Parts: sequence; C-alpha cells; structure tokens
Amino acid sequence: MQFKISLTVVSSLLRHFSINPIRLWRNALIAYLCLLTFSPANAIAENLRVLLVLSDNTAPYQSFYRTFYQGLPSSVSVIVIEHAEEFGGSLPKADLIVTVGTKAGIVVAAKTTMPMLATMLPRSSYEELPSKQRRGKNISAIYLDQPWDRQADLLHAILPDRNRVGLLYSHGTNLNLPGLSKEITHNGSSLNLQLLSSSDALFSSLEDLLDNSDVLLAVPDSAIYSSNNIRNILLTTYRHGVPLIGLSQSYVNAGALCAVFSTPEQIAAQTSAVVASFVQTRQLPDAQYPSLFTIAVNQEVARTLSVPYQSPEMLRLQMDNARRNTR
Amino acid sequence: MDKTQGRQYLIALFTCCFTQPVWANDYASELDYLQEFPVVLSASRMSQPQDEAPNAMTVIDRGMIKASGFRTIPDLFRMVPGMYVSYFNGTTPIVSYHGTTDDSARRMQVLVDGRSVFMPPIGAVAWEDLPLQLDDIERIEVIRGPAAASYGGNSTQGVINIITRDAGAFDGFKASVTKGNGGIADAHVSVGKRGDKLDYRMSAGYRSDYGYDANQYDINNDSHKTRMFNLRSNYHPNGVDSFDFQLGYTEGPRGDGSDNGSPNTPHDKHNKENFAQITWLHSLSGGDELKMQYYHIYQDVLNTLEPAAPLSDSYTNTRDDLEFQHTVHTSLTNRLVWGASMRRDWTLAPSRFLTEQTVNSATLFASDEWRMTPKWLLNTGAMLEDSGLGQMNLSPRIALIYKFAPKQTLRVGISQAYRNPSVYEERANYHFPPPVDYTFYLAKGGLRPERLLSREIGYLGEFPEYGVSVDARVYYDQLSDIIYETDADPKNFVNMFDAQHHGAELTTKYHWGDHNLLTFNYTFQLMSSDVTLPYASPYSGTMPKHMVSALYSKTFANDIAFSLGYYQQGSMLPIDRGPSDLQNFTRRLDIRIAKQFKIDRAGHKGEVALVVQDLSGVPYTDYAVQNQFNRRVFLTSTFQY
Repeated sequence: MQFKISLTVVSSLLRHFSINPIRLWRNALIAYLCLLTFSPANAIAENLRVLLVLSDNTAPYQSFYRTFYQGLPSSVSVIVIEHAEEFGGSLPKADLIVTVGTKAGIVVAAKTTMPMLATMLPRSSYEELPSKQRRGKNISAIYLDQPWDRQADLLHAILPDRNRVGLLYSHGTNLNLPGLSKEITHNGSSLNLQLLSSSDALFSSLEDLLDNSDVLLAVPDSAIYSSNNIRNILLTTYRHGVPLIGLSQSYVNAGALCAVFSTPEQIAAQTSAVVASFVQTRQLPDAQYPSLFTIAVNQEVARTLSVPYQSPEMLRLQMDNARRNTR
Repeated sequence: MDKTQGRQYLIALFTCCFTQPVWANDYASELDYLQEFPVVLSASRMSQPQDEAPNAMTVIDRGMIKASGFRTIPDLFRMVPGMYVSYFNGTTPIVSYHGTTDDSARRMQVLVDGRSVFMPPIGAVAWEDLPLQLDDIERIEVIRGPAAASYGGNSTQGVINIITRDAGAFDGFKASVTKGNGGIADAHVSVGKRGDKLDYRMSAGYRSDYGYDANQYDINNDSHKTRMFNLRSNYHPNGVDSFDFQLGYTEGPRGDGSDNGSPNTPHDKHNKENFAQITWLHSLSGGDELKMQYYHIYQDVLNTLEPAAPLSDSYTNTRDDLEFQHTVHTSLTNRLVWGASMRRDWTLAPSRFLTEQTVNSATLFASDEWRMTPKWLLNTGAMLEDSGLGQMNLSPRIALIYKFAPKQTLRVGISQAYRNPSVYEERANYHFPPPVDYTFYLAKGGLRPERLLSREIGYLGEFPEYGVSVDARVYYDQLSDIIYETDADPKNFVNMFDAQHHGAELTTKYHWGDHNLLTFNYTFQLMSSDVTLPYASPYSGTMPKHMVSALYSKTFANDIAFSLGYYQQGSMLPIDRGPSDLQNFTRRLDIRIAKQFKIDRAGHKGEVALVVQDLSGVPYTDYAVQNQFNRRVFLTSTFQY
C-alpha cells in the first residue's frame, strides 16, 4: 500500500520563504499602499510576458504547464512552445523564458541570452549548460533532484539502525558524491560506493555491494536503474534483505521501500512563485532545489523487510525536526 | 498517480527512448525520475515477516543451508524445533512435526513454490524424488502449527514451504562435484541468464550414496542413484504481468528389500518423477494482485519383487491442480487473500487398489489480516475443503498479534484443522496374488477426518544492541479421531484414538563480533493418549521429550568459512516400530570448513568445502535398528563464473 502526501502549496510556500501570515498581511498592505501612491511604478510590474518552453508535450510537461499557469498572477501572460526543437527563428517577444526539462534548458541556453529560468532538470545538467547568461545573473534554475541533506534525513528517519548506505553508479553519472557522503556521515552513517566497471558486471557488482550494505540508494543513472533492469535489481535487493530507496512514486510502486521526490506539479507551483516575484523585482533568485516534495513509502515492503511502520507524515515531521536541530 | 496519468508517463518515456536524442548521453535528464516501472515486489513475491505471521515460523535461508553442510533436503529440517527427521531406509526420509513418526508422516503439508508434493496413493512425500537441488532453494519457511487457511489441506500440524530461487536469481555458470565415503558421489551443473523480458535458469544433477550401514543385518539394501534436471523461467512482457514456468525431472534406482525371509528380497526399484508448473501473476493497482497457477505432477515407481516371479508393487500417480488467488487491500489497514482450487489425483497401483483411483477435491479459502492499530494485528482465516472422498470440512483459524514494544511481539492463536483420510486409508486392498497370496491391508472405508484443535502463545523479541533474537512458544494440541491401522492382517484403518500434545519451543539467534552467528533450538514436548498401540511402544514415548539443535558459523577475512552443527535427540521409539528399534539418546556433531578462491578478476571463482558428519565417529541408529549412521566425510569443489 502506498501513501502519498502533498502539502498544500500555500503552507509550504510560507515555510519555504520563511514568512509568517502576519508579515504576509503587512506586505500585502504595503503593496496596496504602493499601488495607490505610485501607480506608474506598478505599471512596469504588469504585463510580464513569459515564454514557456517544454521539452515535450507529454503528460508530465502538460501537467507542469497547467499548474504553472494556474499559479501565476493575472498580470503575467504566457506563450507556450510545446517542443523545445521549435525554439528559435522568429520568437515572440518575452521578458522571461521558463524552460521545462533538460532538453528545453539546453536548446534555449544555446540560442539566447534573455533571462531564463530552467526548471525540472537535474542540478548536474543545469551546471553544464552554456553559461553565457550566467555572468549577467540572467539565468537561474529550479532543480528536479532533491538536496542531499533531504535524502540523508529521510534515510535516517526511516532506517535509523541501518548505517551502511550502499550506492552503485556508472562512469557516466555526474553526481556530487563527496557532498552526499558528508551528509550521510553527518547522520552517523557511512556511504559505501561501488563503481560499475561494465554493464555486464551489474549484478555481480550489486551483489558485492549488498553484502556490505544495509540500504541501497538509487541515483539517476540510466545504465543501472532502467526499466529493463529494475526487476532483477529489486529482486536481488529483496533477497539480500536490503531495502532500496527510490527516486519517484514509480520506484515505490515497483518495490522500493520509499522515495522523496518532487512531482512536476510541485516544481510548477514553485516556478509560479518565482515568476511572481520576478514580476516585482525583475531579478531571478539563486538556483534552488525543490521546496515542495512528496514522500512515498511502500508499506508492504516495509513490513516484509521488518522496517517499523511510519507514515509519510511522521517521516516528514522527523526530517523537519532534524533540519531544525542542524540549524 | 492515476492509471491514465501513468500510461501517459509511459508514453512519454517511450517517445523519448525511441527518438534517442544526442544530448541524452551528455546530460542527466528528468527522464530518470519520470520513468515508469513494473510492479516487481508484489504481494505473492514477498514473505510475511515473522512477527506478523499467524503461526510460529522457522526460516531456513541459503546461508544456513550452506553452513549446515547437509546434502539432502530432509536433513535441513533438523534445524527446526519440534521436527523429527529420520529415514525408513537410506532412500526414504521421514520428516514429521510433533509426533506421528511413522514411515509416511501424513500430517504436514509440503509445498515447493506453491505446488503440493504430498502425494497419493499412501499420502506421503517422496523426498528423494523431488526434482530439486539444494542449491536451487532460496529459502524454506516452516510453519509450526495448523495453517490450512493459507496453505490448503493437510496443513494439520505444520507446513513446509520451499521457495526456489527466482528465474533471474543467477546469471552465469556453476558446477560442483562432491565425493565422500559411503558411496557419496554428487555432481551438479547450473546455468542462468537474466534478460530484459525473459529470465531462466537450468540445472542438472546427480546424487548417490550407499545409504545406511548395516547393523545387525547382513544386507542393508538402500543405496540410490538419482539423476535430475530442472528449469525455471520467467517471462515478464509488460509492467503488470509475469509468467513463471517450471519443469523438473528425476529418475534413478533405489535399493529395496531385505533378506530377512520376506518375499521382498533385495532388489532395485526404479523411481521417476516429473512436473510442469505455470504461474501467472497479474498486478492490480494499490498492491492488489491476481494469481493463477496450474501444475501437473507425474510419479512412477517400477517395483518388481524378485525372484518370486511376477510380483509387482509398481504404481503410477498423477496430480493436476488449478488454483486461483486474489490479494486485495480492502482498506489501508486490511488485506484479504481469497481463492479457490481444484485438484485431480489419479493412481494406478494394482497391488494396492482393486481399480484405478481418481479423487477430485476442491477448496475455497480466505485469510484476512487486519491492522487494528499499529500495535494490534488480527489474523483470521478459514478453508472449506471437499476431500473428494466424502468428507467436507471447514478449518478456521484466528491469531491475535500484539506488538507491545518495538521489536517485541506476543501472539495468541487458536485454530482447528482437519486431515482428510488418504485414498489408501479409505480404499486400500494391498494384496499379492499366488504364490504369495496374502492380503496385507484391506480398508473398509467410512473414515472421519482427523481433527486437531491447536492453541498457542508465542513471543518474538529482538534485542539488536546485544545481537540477540528470541522466538518462543508454548502450545496445547488436542488431536481427535486419529486414523491408525488395526493390529491383525489384513489391516484396516480406523479412527482409533485421541491424543494430547503439549510443549514448548525456543529458537534464539545470537550474532556477534566479526561474522559470528549462532542459532540455538530447544524443544520440550509431552504427548499423552489412552491408546494401547499394536506395537510395544507407549504413545508418550513415540517422540523424544527433549531435542536440541544448534548451528554456529563464522566467516574469516581470508574467505574461510567455518561452521558447526549440533543435533541432539532424546530416546524414543517410533510409533510403528517394535522394542528392538528403540532410538537411544543421540547426539551428532557436524563440521564444515570451506575456502573460497577468486580465480581471476573477471569473476571466476571457486570453493573447496570439507564436511564431516557425526564427527565423534560414534554410530547411532535412525528409525529402525538396521539404519546405522556412521561418520561420513565428503569434499565438495565448486567452480563458478
């Protein structure tokens, strides 16, 4: 049985931007007064034109678009390009380009120096984008992947006794492994890394790793975690009694113990908020990790691996407490 | 995520896969996060955790199997509290739980991947003929106590549930050879391959030994040679369906008979067994699942008693079984498994029945697991069974589990279970024509099923800070209408007596230091009945009062593994034996030392293992006085890549 929770956008945004309702009302009042007093200044803030470039027009990108659009102030107009390949040539006039997905990010970054917000792409891909705009701080991002501390906190919350964290990766992956190792060590565990030498050696490498690990952490690496391999990866971890921590709801449905991830809708809500603030400031914030996230737990897998029952809400609470104590 | 959405994500994934954009090689992409996966760990692939099972359960895993050094499956059950393992002769093992130590322990269900191998005509398990090698076993779950609601008919006193390795569990090649005294000569080759949609593994093997060493008798003709083959494959064409297909075959000669003057003079009988099984698993949303399984088993024993001309005790059995099972989560806290099965057993055994026998039986079953609170779990279940021989029974079970502290569980259970008479007990006509012209058994039929009312209290505790876990239970079983044979020839089967079994069982595991593991089992059992049995044995002495088994294993840094097995059994006289067959207090110590070698970096590796069984060299007897077990020593070399 899987449980899934999504916090309401409002409450999470409040937490993310560290504002409380009283301050919000105060700000709203100030904004209203500004509106009355300096209406010409306000006119600049209106009629922001956003060009939204999707990598693709399939379901995840469509639902991103829907949520994004709903979350925008009425003063923002949006033009959508549904396929990144169509970007170029005679472009409609825009104040800000928002890209969705890695492909759109790459295509757009290569062709323009306009202000750009790249969303729903892994941090490593963002950091490899051509960086013409970066000098002028004209580019920023909302990543799809979770910050390592969040991953490490979830691991610690759900499996406090399992200290040896195994991680299998191949040559192609671009991961900040020292950063992860630091977060995991911080929680009193150790990271056990295994580099996959060749695709033939996948299962022998995995078996070796599982012999010395209490939990396996999945990473975005299509040479390992593909739909062709996932079956035997999960069966192997299950035989070893080692739970897999996945990257999405789909991992959890398949048989991973749990995952922390952000859905396209959650990234979209955060994007709307950033665009709304861009309307006011005409400045992009620093590139950021998703502030909204979902925790999913496969309770059947938890039971069969004798992992004590904890609801996603309880896990989230523990992770929040852990963060608070760190600060 | 709803279904349509899921499908759309899948389309997204495929579109992106087929277009193969160049940038995909250089950049990490969101597709790693958005891809859809099949449901792999579905309900029927996952085992129930011990602290949530409605019965006491012993799990024997691959590590224990290896450390024990045992060559055969029945021996493994020496590591289960309350289990009696012995041999009618070297080719006919006896495995029984809580008494009824006769030569065909009838009160326990034995399943291999859900296939019942408890077979007609007598109602016994042909352990030596199972097309299954030790190395193909993933784990064995032994349910101690009645579990008909979950495991079907004949699960009266317990269930042995053997789970073999998944088709994709092994990718490569493995070969091993064993040679030892007492005619021990085994060989085993297996290959396995994992694929995107199809996994398979195959193994072929040979096992042989001379059986027991003779004691008071001049000839102990119980050597055997067994050749076997099996195949398991799994086809998983999409995310929701998987088809598991298995085949197996064994055959070989088994020594039989003795020169004690009976017409059953020393000779070889020839046993054959094969099976085919197909299981379809279909995942539904929310972790629900449909399972459909069909299997066919064929057994043939060619047994010509020589030299007394055309005397034949041959028989042929077949079983066809179709089962349907649905796992459904009725709420977040409730899981229901229900289903139905139909079975046809057919036997042709001219010496034992007047005509060929066909029995069509059917069951309807349901079990429900309700997590009332995180601490309380209620497990209820029942099975309705039509034996096909005129009996219809309902076997209910209820168990309440209380997790009173983290890793501390109490269980209280009560269940009623039935064992239906076998077709032999109902219809036997065991007769040899002239020159013997004698009827050994003539069943008059009309039996009532045996009934078992079982009550138990169990405790499970884990103390990770000390590396200790404890599994303890006390039980009280009331057996009624036990079917037993009458004294005088020709024997009949009647509902002869009632009995009470009670006792306590304890398993502790202790894990310490650098790869030290000690498993310790202790059994205390008392049995009572008013019956005076045909043979001289009082019922209370048909099982040992105390039994101990222990397995210690250690792995050293230089790839050397060392293990010790200790098995102790109080004195007893099997229920159908006379005073000369008294099994005295026995203890046996087995030792295994193995060294692994990494041959090269490409993953070629080898192992040499030496096993000594009954290290002390003091012989003991099993079941009958002529079964004398002397020290056995054998060496196994394994190569794999």
